[in-house]
Amino acid sequence: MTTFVIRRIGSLLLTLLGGYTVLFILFFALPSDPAEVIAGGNGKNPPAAVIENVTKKYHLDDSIPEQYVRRLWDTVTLGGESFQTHEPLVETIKTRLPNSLRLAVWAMLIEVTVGISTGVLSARRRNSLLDTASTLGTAVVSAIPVFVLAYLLRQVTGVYAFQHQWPEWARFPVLSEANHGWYLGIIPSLDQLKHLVQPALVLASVSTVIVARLTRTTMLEAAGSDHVRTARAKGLRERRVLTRHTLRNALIPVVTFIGIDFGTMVGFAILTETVFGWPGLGSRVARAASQSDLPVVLTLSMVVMAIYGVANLIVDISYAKLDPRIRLGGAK
Amino acid sequence: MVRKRRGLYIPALLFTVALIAAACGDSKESSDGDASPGDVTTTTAARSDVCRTLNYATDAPVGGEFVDYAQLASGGDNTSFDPQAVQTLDESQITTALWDGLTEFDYTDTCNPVLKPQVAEKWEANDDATEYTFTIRKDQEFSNGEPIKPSNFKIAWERGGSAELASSYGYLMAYVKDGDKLLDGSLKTLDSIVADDDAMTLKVTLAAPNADFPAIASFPLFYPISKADYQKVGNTTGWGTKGITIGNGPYKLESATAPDSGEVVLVRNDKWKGGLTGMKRPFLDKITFKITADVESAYQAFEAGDGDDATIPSGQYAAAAAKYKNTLKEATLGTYFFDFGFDDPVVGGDKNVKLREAISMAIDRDEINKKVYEGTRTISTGITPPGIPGFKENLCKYCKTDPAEAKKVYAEWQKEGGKLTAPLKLSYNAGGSHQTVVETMQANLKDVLGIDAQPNPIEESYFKVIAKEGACQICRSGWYADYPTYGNFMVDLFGKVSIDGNNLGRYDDAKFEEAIAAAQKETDDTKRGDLYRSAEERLLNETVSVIPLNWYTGDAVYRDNIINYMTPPLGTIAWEHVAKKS
Repeated sequence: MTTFVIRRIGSLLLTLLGGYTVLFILFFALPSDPAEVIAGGNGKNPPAAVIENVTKKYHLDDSIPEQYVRRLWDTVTLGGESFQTHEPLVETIKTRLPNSLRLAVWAMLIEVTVGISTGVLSARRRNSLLDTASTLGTAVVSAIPVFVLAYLLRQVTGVYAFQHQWPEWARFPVLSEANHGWYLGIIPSLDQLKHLVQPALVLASVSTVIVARLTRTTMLEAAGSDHVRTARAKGLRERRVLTRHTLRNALIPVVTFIGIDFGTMVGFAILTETVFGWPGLGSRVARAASQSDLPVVLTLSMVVMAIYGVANLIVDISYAKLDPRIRLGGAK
Repeated sequence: MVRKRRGLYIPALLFTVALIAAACGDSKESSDGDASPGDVTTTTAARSDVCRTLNYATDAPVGGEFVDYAQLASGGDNTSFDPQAVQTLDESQITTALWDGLTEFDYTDTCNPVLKPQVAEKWEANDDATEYTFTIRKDQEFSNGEPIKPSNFKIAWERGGSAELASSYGYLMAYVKDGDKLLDGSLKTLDSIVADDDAMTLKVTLAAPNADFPAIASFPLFYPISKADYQKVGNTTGWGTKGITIGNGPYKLESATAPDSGEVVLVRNDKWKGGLTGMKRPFLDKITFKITADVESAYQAFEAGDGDDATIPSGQYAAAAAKYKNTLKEATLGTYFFDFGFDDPVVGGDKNVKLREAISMAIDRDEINKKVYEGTRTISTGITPPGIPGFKENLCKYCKTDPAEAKKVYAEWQKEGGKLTAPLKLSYNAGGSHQTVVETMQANLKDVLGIDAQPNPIEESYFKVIAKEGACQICRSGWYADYPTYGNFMVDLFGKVSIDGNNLGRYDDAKFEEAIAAAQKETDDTKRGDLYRSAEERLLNETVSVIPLNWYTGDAVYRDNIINYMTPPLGTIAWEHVAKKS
């Protein structure tokens, strides 16, 4: 196990370096001049003297290898700052990473509870009205783009609710406030819960559908396997067959998906974060990309990639717990 | 001052997703900066009131909190509200609430603004407008209790022009003698700015005559800074407390979250010594500027009962105007137009003046206004908008849509040997509503003159690309005043000095240059206005080098219980006047 973990961490570090290099090269391949963007070139042409000063200030006139090393050092040490706003990136990470994690954790809870239970119910009541309804429902939800879903939710629970004087408890804020109202860093206060519900639902929507469909399929496969038939033949109670023999086997691919999806939710919740104004990592990277803010793009992307890699590692380790046939550390 | 690009950053979002996904390997306006409403056709709403009187209620209720959703509704673009670094009109709403400058325009009569001393008691100029002496009022102090001395201006100005700060507006310091050496880093301090803290005078020697300098000094770059704050921040800047924050205006900063989410909170500055209209205390106790991702979200929040104001998103002007109090009729100092390429072989030069006249008269400005802006903008009768000292209406002879006259003049041009052999190229910055404007122009040219024209959208770095030699045949431009002077339009947009910069058509006319040079030297306000106007008339009617289309108006809604919410022409709200009924 230890060898496996060390090898995977080494592999993750190489992936991070590769990712850094690709992002760095792509940044310099962009057609726009970063100095011009930083100098405020969007609405007018900044004078050449200003562009020159910006170029010098941010060392954009250094050779590419020099800039590569400088930015790599800043990224590794989290010592850089935004070109545009001069926020130290370590502060950005301190404030934004917890927000991304909170949103991802709550979205994942929705994904796990709603997705797995819907999948299990569908599988147990195969071809029933409930199964058909959940199949249709999940198909509809997964077909609605995140933007539209978010807009509709806000319009109904925010604008419509206000204009039709719904009671206070039935109304939800249009925009989120993620920085206040947390107990132990992760449990929302009642007020924060109102801000959290909609982004968490939207972020979880597509993944929940996938988990439900995946659970249903793997449950049906597992239910038809020899060991489940044997368990039933031995006279085990149905609940025990379901939990110990069917569900445990069926969950292996589901756990894989959820683990990877968690990493994705932390770093790639760009649309949800943007629409609801949730101050996480994803929306910040997106903004930085549009502003040629290289230090932000590089450092936050590396954080996201590292989380993604660690989530993958945890999934691999969890295989061994769920399925004793899997041995980590390589074959002899 | 640049207006921000509005809207969501979908291309950037998708691009970033793609970048990170690629790196991970196994993972699942505008464009121009001006307000760009979308494509909606409705009946023409009431036109803007070109000239207004800003009568602020003086008996408004005191106290309360105003929650703003209008000013920081494109949060990802926020960079700084530090006076020497602020770039956008939106962020400068905070800057102007936190600071007062040497001078300030009194916009009681919006078409006849009067420049008045503010932190300065008075100013004097020498005969050729190259030397100014500002006398600073003795009772002024910053919100931290530090007295305001002339040296607070000197350090601010030198900071604003410094190479280290690399401010977008640092070039304004080039008006001051040797200011260009601050910009290139060869000087750190200027002998041309002499601050005498005992005599309370600030003496400035300019690089060239400029009678507009007292007006230019009203721009945020020239606001004073606290020495304590400067010692902490120096020649660096950033969002919130990463930049200079201690001001001398009606409000002071209480807190600021990250630039793209959260809020900026201002509270009443009890050390404020009063404004131009004689008021001694701002009405509100607190202003909270909410930072949102885009105008649409902020407006939705307003519709859901949050906040006291919001910017109206594209395409919702008529609906918003029907429901809420708004600023849609309030003219601001923005102008939207197209340049002709001055040296373009097809449309440029003396021999093509009649072609340019015909093109200008063929464009249906009213159709554009209805289609794109729901009739909210004002059809322009020149480049320089009302609200600029020296402005006069109806300067332009060829800005009225007149198909018959356009056809006649076009036929004359053809008779004189003029011939178009290829479609005209209508260049614009891709995105926003410019495409609809250009398509309307294309249809007008075909319908009225039978001229083929080709839209030429430019995706990246439009202003840089189009400013290059030979790039502009007919190209979109627009401008929002940095400070309310005629020169800010004539010199910055059409002066020879602005070629390769914001003079996109590369206009270079000797008579025009003579007129603006004379205007810059002229210290008499009336005569200076006459000279600038003669320059504009040369541009509009003799060389016919631009197609003015419209002047901008406000685009905000606000609650019924808000008092004194008005947009002065320069666009920055006088926050000390804004009040709220409980």
